[in-house]
Amino acid sequence: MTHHNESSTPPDVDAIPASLMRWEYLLIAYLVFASFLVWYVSENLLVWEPEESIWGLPKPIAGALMIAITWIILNFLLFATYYVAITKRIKNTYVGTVVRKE
Amino acid sequence: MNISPWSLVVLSTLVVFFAFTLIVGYVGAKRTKKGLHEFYVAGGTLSAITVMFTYMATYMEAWEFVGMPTVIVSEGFEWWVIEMIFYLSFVALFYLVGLRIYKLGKLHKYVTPTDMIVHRVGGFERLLRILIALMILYATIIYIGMIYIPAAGVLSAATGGEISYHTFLALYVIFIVIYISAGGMRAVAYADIMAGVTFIVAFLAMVYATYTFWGGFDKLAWTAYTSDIGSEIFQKTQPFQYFWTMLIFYGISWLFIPHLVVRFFAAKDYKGVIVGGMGSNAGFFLGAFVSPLLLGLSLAAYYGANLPEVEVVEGYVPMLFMELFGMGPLLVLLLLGLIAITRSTIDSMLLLVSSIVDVDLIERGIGIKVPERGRRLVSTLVIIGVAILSVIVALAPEAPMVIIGFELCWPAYSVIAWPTIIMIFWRRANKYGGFASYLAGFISLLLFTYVIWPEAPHNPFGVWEGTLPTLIAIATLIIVSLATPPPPEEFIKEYYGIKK
Repeated sequence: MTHHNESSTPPDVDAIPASLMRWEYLLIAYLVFASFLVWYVSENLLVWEPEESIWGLPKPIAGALMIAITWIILNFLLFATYYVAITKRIKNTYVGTVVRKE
Repeated sequence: MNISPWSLVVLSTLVVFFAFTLIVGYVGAKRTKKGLHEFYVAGGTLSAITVMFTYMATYMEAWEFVGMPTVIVSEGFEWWVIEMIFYLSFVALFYLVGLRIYKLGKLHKYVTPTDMIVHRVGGFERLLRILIALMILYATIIYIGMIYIPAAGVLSAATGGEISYHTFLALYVIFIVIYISAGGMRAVAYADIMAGVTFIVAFLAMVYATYTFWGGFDKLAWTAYTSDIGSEIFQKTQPFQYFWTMLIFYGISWLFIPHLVVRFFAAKDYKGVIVGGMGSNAGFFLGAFVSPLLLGLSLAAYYGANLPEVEVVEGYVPMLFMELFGMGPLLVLLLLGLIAITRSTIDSMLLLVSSIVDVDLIERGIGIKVPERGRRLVSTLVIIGVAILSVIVALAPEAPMVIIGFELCWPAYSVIAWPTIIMIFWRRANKYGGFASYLAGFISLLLFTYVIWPEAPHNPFGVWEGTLPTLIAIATLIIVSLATPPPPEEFIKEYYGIKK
C-alpha cells in the first residue's frame, strides 16, 4: 500500500466522488420497494395452488420471475446512469484541470 | 479394480482440463511481472472484458450451476428464491460500492482487501491484520470445502459411483494445488475466460435439450409443479424475516466479498468496474436465474419424489444429464463446464488466501521479512495447507452446499463486509470503533453458531444466520466511534483523496 500521489492519479479516480452523489440516495427508496416485493412474493406466491396461475405459470415461478426481471432491468438502468454520470464528471474534472493550468 | 470405459472418459476429462489450464497458468505466470501488486491483482491492468469474465467466473460457479438446482428438490424452491432476493440488493448497490472500492484501490494501490480495511481503520494495524486474516481464512476454508462437494460429487455421480466421491475429491485437490502454484492472478483471469466460454456452451446445450425434451418452459414448469414432489418443495417454510434479512444483510455483504474486491483492485479503469459489472450481472441472469431454474424444474419434473441415489445430493445434476443426453460427447462437454466453474472459483479463492497469509499475516501482521523466492515457497505451502484443510468440510457433508454456505460461510463475510462498507462512506468512524466492530462481530458469530444456538438459524428470531453478529458489529462501530475522538482530519483527506 502506498500513499496518494496526486500526479499519478488517473482522471477517472478523481471523478468518482468519495461521498454519495445526491441521486444515489434514491437507492434507499429502491430498497424499500425491494422489501415490499420480497414480502409480496414470499407471503403470497410461495404457495402450492395448482389451480391458480400468473402469466400462465405456477405462482412460485412467476414470483421468482418478478424478482429476477426487477434486478436485471435495474442492472442496465444503473449501468447507463453511472456510465453517463462518471463520464460527465471526468470531462468536468479534465476541463477544470486544464483551465487551472492555463 | 475394473473401471468401465465411460468412467475412464470422465476421469480423462478431469485430467485433460487441468493439464490445459496448467499450460494457460504457466503462460500467464511467464507474462506476470515480479512484485506483489502484479502477482495478486495483475498490476491493476485488467480490461473491462477480462474483468467481466472474471466476475462471471467467480459467481457463476458450482453454487449456481449445481448447488441451486439441487437445493430446489432437496430442500425447497424457496432457497433458490432467496438467492434471487440477494440479487435485488447486490445488483442495486454494485456500482455504488464497487466504484468507491476501485477508487480507493487505485489511490492507495492495495493488494489485499485487508490493506483497505486496516488503512481505513487507521490503527492497531498488526492486530487488525491478524484478526481480519483469521476471519477471511475461517470463511474461505468453509467456502472452498463447500465447492469441493459438487466438484467431486458431480464426477463421481457421472461414473455412476464407480469411481468414488472421495477418490475424485483427492484428485481434484491435488490438481488444484499444482495449478495454482504455477500461476498468478493473471493466469487465473485468463483461465476464467476459458471457464466462462465452456460454461456458455454447456448452458446453451442444456437450454436446447430442455426445450426439446419438455416442449417449452411453461410445460416444464407445470410438470414440475404438479409432480409428486411439488406440494412438498413449492411451499414456504421460512418466516418473512428470514427472506428480508437475506435481502438486506446477505445481499449487501456480497459487495465486499474478498475475492470480488481484488477484482475491483485489478480493474484498469472505471469502465472495468461498470462495464464488467453490467456484463457479469447480465450473465448472472443466465447463470443464476435461467440455468438453475431450468435444471431444478427438470429434476423435479423428471424424478419427482423418486430422486436417484447419490453420495452427495449435488450428484443429481449429472445423473439427469445422463438420463437426458446419454453417455456421449455432449455429456463430456457438460462435465467440462462443471469442472471449469468449480475450478475457477476454488483457485481464485486459494490465491486470495495465499495473498492474505503472505502479505497480511507474515509480512505486515507478524512482521517477518521473507525474500521473494522464499515468499513463493511460503505461498505455495499455505495454498497446500488451506486446500487440504478445506477437505474436512467436504469429507462427509451433512447438508447441501447451498445450506452450508447460507448457514456457516456467508455470515462470516457479512461481519467483515458491513463495517467496511459503512467505513467507506462514514468519515466519523475511527480506529477504536473499527477494530472493536470486527472483533465483536467475529466473536459473536462464533458464539452464536457453535455455543449459544448451535441449531440453524443460530438465533431465536427466525432471521438469517449472519444478521445478529452483523448488527452487533455495526452497533459496536457506531457506538465506540462516537464515544471516542474522531479520526484526524489530515488522515481523512488523504484516505478519501480529498483535494484542498
